[in-house]
Amino acid sequence: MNKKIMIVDDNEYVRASVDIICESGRLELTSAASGMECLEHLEQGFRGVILMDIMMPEMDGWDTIREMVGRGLYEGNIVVMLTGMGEPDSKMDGLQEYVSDYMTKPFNPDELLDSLEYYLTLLNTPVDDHER
Amino acid sequence: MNHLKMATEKVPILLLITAVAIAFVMMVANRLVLEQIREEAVRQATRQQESSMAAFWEQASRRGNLFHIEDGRMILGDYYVLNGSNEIPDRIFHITGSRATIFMGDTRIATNVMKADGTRAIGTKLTGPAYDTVFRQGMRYRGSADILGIPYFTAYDPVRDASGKVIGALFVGVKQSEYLARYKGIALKITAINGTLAAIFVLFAVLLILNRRQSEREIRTQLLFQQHLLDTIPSPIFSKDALGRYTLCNKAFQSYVGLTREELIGKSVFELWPEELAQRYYDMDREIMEATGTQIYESQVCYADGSLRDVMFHKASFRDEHGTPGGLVGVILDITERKAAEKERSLMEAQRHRSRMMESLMIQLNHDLNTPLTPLFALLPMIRRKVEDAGVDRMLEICQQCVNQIQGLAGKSFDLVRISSERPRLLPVNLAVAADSAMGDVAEALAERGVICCNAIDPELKVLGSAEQLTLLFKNLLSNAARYAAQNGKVVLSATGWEDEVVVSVRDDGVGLDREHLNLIFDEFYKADSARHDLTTQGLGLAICKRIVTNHDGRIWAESPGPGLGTTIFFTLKGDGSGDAFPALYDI
Amino acid sequence: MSARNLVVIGVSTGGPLTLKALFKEIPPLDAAFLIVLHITPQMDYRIAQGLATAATMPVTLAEDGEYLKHGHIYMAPGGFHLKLEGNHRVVLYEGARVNYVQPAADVAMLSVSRPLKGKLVGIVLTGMGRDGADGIKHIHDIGGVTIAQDQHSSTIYGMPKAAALTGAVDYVLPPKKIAAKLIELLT
Repeated sequence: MNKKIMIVDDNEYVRASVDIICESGRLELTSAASGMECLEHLEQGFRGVILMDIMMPEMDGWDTIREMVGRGLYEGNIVVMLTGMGEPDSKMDGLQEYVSDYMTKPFNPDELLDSLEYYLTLLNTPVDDHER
Repeated sequence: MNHLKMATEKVPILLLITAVAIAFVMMVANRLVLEQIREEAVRQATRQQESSMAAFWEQASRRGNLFHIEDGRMILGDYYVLNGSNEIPDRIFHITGSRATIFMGDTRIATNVMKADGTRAIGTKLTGPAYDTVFRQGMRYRGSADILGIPYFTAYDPVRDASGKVIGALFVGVKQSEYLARYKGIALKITAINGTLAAIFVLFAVLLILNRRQSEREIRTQLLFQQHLLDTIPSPIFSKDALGRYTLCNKAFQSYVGLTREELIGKSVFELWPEELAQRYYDMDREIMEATGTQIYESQVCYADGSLRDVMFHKASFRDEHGTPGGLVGVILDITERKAAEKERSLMEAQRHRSRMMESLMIQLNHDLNTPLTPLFALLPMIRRKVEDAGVDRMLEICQQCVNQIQGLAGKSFDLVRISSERPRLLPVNLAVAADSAMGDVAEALAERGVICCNAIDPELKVLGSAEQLTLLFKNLLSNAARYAAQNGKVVLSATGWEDEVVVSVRDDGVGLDREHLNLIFDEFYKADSARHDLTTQGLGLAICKRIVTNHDGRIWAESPGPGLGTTIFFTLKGDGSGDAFPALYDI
Repeated sequence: MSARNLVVIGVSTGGPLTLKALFKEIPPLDAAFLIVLHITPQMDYRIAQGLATAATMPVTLAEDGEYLKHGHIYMAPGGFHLKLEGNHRVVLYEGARVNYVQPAADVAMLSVSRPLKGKLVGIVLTGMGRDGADGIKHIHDIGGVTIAQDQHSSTIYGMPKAAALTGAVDYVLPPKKIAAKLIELLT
């Protein structure tokens, strides 16, 4: 049963907060401080729900997603943006199908947990080959 | 213009004189030529008479050689009586065409010269110079003579008898008029032709003059129009000749320098302005005359009315076809307004730039605030859940409030900037729905104080606006009303349509406002509570409302009967023109 | 059945949770529901399954050549564009992205045509971009009822805003009220 969550954010307090929330919900959190770290984790086999910040230095959230998809690391993950930007700009064009949700900071911890749990159930849904 | 006047007067006269002179010369030449021809004709006539006379003598000699008078009869030869023997003269007439007469003494005895009644002039006498020459001087006479009052070309030869005494004469002659008839015919023709030519010539001259007059009129009209045009152009225009004297100026130039046209034309700068200034102008003009193309330069000048203006000079020299400078032309453009507009534009541009910077700063700030707010928002509730101590819980509650306050400020400031920067597209929006949406957002705040909100806006009413901003507008108004409504009171939303304008009202039954606050409440960061103690509000709500209403071309104002008697906020929006007046559905 | 009531929904980011909230409130209705969600082929089945747990009607991925039935929710599969023939037969095809997305709501909505054999409803829910705006205008023009999600409840107010700006949207509502409106229209 996959209970894996990854937080990708350059702010340590944000990461710490999400850690605490996940802990209270008994979810496993992997922390990444940048898009590069996120990709490393994915290369090493992480699959789960990814909470992705948008505004990060060097590589922003959109570039990270494009890189994920490009390297074939997207499958098996659900990506949820977690950002201080109220609305996405046009850099998101073309990535709509890869982003399942968009949460703005600051967020309600309970709402976050509920969403994470729902997305995890989606990931854990068994798929029969002939049902596709 | 003056040149033209002079030309107008001189030239046609010259032309006319010339034309007349030529006509005159033609006539004179004509006359001379005709004279020549006449003389020649006369000469020829005379010669012809000579040969006619010779023929006469020859005829006579056929009948005899000597003449003598006997018994009052003139006898030629032995027996030929000449008296009444018209056949000799007739024969001469027949051969030569000249009339002939035989005179006995000075009397005609045989002739074919006719009297006026058509009979032969037998018995008439010879008179005049011919008589003198023949009978007194005994010589032949050649030349013109009058016979019976009619001019003839004549030849008279004396007839002598055997002793040599002149006893008679022989005459041949032609009527001048007959002889000259042909000449006269020719003369007439030639004269006619000449005359016609001369007339045509003069006619041409006249036509030319008329044409010229016409052209001059047109040129004059053109010049008048041009001057009028120049005078209408508000920019001062002038021209100078090669010596620097003003040749042309328009009204605007006159008011620019403060001189009349009469005072300007023909004068150079030295006659009009102080030495130093004039010298400067002169030097500049010289430069321009040397150069090709138009010189454009900006300057500041003082007009005659005393005003200092920014101007642009456009000056160009003009040359004639040989390339020698003919003068220069100048136009002065008053660019004071343009410069002022440019300055204003750059000011506005700077302002816009500043607001754009402010905007990006706000967006950045908003984002940066949200980052540290995140852990606070996320963790405070969780901490509170773990805490049992009421005192600690109270502390945490205060922290939570503060954090909410910060978030509210960040969000509202951001809203304010966003609303100010974009004018939304105004589309038909269902007003009641926008209100409902807002009511949903504020539901919690309302419920907290037990306030009931009633949406009495006609569900069919549509206004022109942005649904997004209108919902935000209602949200701010409702949260305001929620705050100030009486505990367990109510807030009523209604709208009435008036032609193209819809007036919306949000009424609460709460604390109310006094006069002085009614206008101030729409200012940014204003709080009716002067100590600004109320932490739950940032004071931006109504400022945002005002901005939104302005974006929708409407007005917003507050009314209150007084403290404790509730407040109503009114604002106007544009109707979408689809309906008549919409009275409030019901008024609770 | 002679009537062919059809509800076409375009939705993107924020879809999984929004669709759950919406269909939770909708009892089985006499209409075919077609959802065009911007999704990858890897996740489409899982999303459909997730929705199925909350919805009162069966949820399946639409198959090529399938005929839409009343009382059933269909999801356009990832990796294809979906269009309808005769307003009820599914045609899947591969093709270039439309509005930067695939499957595109515009493709599905624009493929609906007159004559309508029943009621037609077009809905644009949360999402970024402007997919569905042209489609919703088309649905409005051929006589369908059009709904866009309101700003407050939208995860991203991009697509619903673009739809509303066409001026061809009849109702702007949050999910609960959309559900109520659908019940009203289809019963």
